[in-house]
Amino acid sequence: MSEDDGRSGGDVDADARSADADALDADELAEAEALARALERGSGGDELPEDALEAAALIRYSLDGGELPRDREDAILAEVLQGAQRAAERRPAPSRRPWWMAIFGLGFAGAAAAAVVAILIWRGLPTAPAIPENGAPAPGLEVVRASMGRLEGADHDEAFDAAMRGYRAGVYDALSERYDAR
Amino acid sequence: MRRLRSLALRAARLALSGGLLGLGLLLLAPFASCAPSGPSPREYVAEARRASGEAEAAAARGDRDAQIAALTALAGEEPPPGVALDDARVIRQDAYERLARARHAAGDAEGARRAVEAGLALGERDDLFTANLLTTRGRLREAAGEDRDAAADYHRALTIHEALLEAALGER
Repeated sequence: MSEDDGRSGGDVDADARSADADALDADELAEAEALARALERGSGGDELPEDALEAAALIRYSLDGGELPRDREDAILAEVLQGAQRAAERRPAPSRRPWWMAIFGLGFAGAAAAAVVAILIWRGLPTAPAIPENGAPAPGLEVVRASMGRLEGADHDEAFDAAMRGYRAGVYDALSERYDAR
Repeated sequence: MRRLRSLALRAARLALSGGLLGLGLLLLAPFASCAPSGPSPREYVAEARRASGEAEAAAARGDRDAQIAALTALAGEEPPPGVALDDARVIRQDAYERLARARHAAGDAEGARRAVEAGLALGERDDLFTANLLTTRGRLREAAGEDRDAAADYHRALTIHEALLEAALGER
């Protein structure tokens, strides 16, 4: 292969690269313009790809440390203040409780307290606990015999009544003693 | 708005009167437990003793009506809370048994039966009062020609008597 051949081959490559470069410049022209606009106003457009937007942000940050321009700061502040005002307007104002609700509350509280006390008193009324079976004192021999005698006939009723009077008196004595002590 | 206000006022007035009522109840509550609610157990026993004595006195003087009236009142008196059921049973069974005999003596066989049944309905125990009622019912049944039932009552009364006799002899 001759030297000329080689050079001419290199020229062909360079021409091809130049043609490619021209083609790339045409494609990237829109991106470059968008990037320039982004750098200028701090926001990207639809035609700007994500990596270009990131590059614009980095370049912008390297230039002014991310500091916003004064007019941009004012605009953002005004926007934030407006948003806060709108949010405050949307929030319902704290309602004042009407005076009659306080009376209502007091009335119901009083009635509820009275009901509770009434129930407590009713449940605590002196309903004495069931007393275990006490019954009568054991009968003596005389009254048992008199009671048995009735099984033989009515002739024994008088003796029975007399014996029962004595026993009955003893029963009432025992009951009186038991309940007087309580 | 005005209607709402008048409604609120009315409701407030209602609540206020409710509250005042509650307050009044609250103040009266301590006295509620002191309100009289029938005789005390002590008064019940004292009254039973008095009625029993009255019936005995009436029987002694031959006043059958007064005896029956006193015993009817005594037997039918419900004991107040605090009186042991068995104590009340003893008092009332004794009264019913005497009432049954008084009515039978007065010619009121049906009234006598009702009295004896009412006495036994208070509960049967192995004591003298149940045995007396069984003996009296046996007699009433015997008089009515119900011999078999009368024998059953006598037998049951005898069983109780035997136990009572053993207990009385054992105490000697």
